[in-house]
Amino acid sequence: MNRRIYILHESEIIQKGLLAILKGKFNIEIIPFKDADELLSLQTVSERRMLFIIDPDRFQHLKVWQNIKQRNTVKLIGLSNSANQTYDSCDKVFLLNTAPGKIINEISGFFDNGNESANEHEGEELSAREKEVLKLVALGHSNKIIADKLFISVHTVISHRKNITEKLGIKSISGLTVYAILNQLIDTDEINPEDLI
Amino acid sequence: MKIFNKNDKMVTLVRANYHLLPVISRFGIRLGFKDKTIENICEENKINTDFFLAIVNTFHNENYFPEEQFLQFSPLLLVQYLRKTHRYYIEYELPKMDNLLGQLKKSCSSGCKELEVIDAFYKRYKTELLNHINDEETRVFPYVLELVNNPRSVDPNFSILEYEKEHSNVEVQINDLKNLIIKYMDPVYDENICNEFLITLFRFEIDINDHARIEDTILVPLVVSIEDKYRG
Repeated sequence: MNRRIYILHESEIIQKGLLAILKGKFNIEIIPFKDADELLSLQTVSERRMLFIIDPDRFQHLKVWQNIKQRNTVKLIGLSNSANQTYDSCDKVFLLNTAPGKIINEISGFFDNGNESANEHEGEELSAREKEVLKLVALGHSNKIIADKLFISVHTVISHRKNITEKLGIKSISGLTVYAILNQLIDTDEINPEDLI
Repeated sequence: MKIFNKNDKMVTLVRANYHLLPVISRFGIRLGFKDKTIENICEENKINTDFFLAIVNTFHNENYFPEEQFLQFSPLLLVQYLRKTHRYYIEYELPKMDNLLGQLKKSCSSGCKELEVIDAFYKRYKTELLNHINDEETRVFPYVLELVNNPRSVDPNFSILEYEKEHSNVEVQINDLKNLIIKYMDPVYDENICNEFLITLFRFEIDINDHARIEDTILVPLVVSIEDKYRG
């Protein structure tokens, strides 16, 4: 996924300081923004993983955030100089005197997380229906035939297949076939497994 | 993550990421670096330093995307490198995996049917990988060579974007192979051999993903820019 870090702060010292701290640490493009108008250029982008470090007093309540959040995975980090304020639009707030390491860890967490997110359902058990679909996939049937055999739509078959893959952590058809054989979903006394794989 | 430059010592590169060892070997560079810089060693071996850096940085750092200034080398260098990588896979890595899987099967005394299924899956993976390599060697690379040497003679309707098929299936299968062994197979085998086999698979996966990335982020843009130049 396309990843970006944006710094939105009117203080040039803070902007440059953050840039200097983050630059060597991440191989992610870091873009400094001086005012809210520059955010408008992001209204058309989508499917990015974006992290914004902002001055929450000035920028937390912009309309444009909603628009950006709809089409991207977004995290807002506020960098504030008052400990008494709460900023409900920010996902996380740091004080200006926070150790840089804490911000760096927060950023790493956000971007590392993206690599694992495809597996959030891994480990969940297959439903009875999913097992039926998996069995037919392993036997080499197309989505259309599977749909006909189970009296469901092709769309539903595809949705079952997506869930199966996420739960098992196995994506290829031949890999799913091996899983089905190892778990005795297909009877290998009747079929030679090597013909299927 | 660190981006290496020509003034870094070659030894730093290996210390930072020992997976780069076979990559360095593919350039014909042998160990015994002393304290020479990357630039020194590349010059001694008559290797284009920018090219070397583009390759090792792409390998070391999956988010690295070489900037245009570092892409001023000929695609022929790249094809030569990719061919060497293919040979390394065919002559060294695949036989190593074959051998470990053979040992693993021998180490199983009873209930070995599952290993046979895994073996069949591995063979399937290997066949697809070899087909993919063969496709590049016989279709993609000759096209690139022809485009560089005789740009006006190639069919203007073809583009590298069509030639360069997706690598995804091969990448998916090696990942599945690892998961099937780690998660779902009964451990009816010698664990040390199995660990060795898995570690080899993990390393091979890194290498082959990087290989695909080099094709996607360096070869394809280089070739597309040549295509554009002649087709306007």
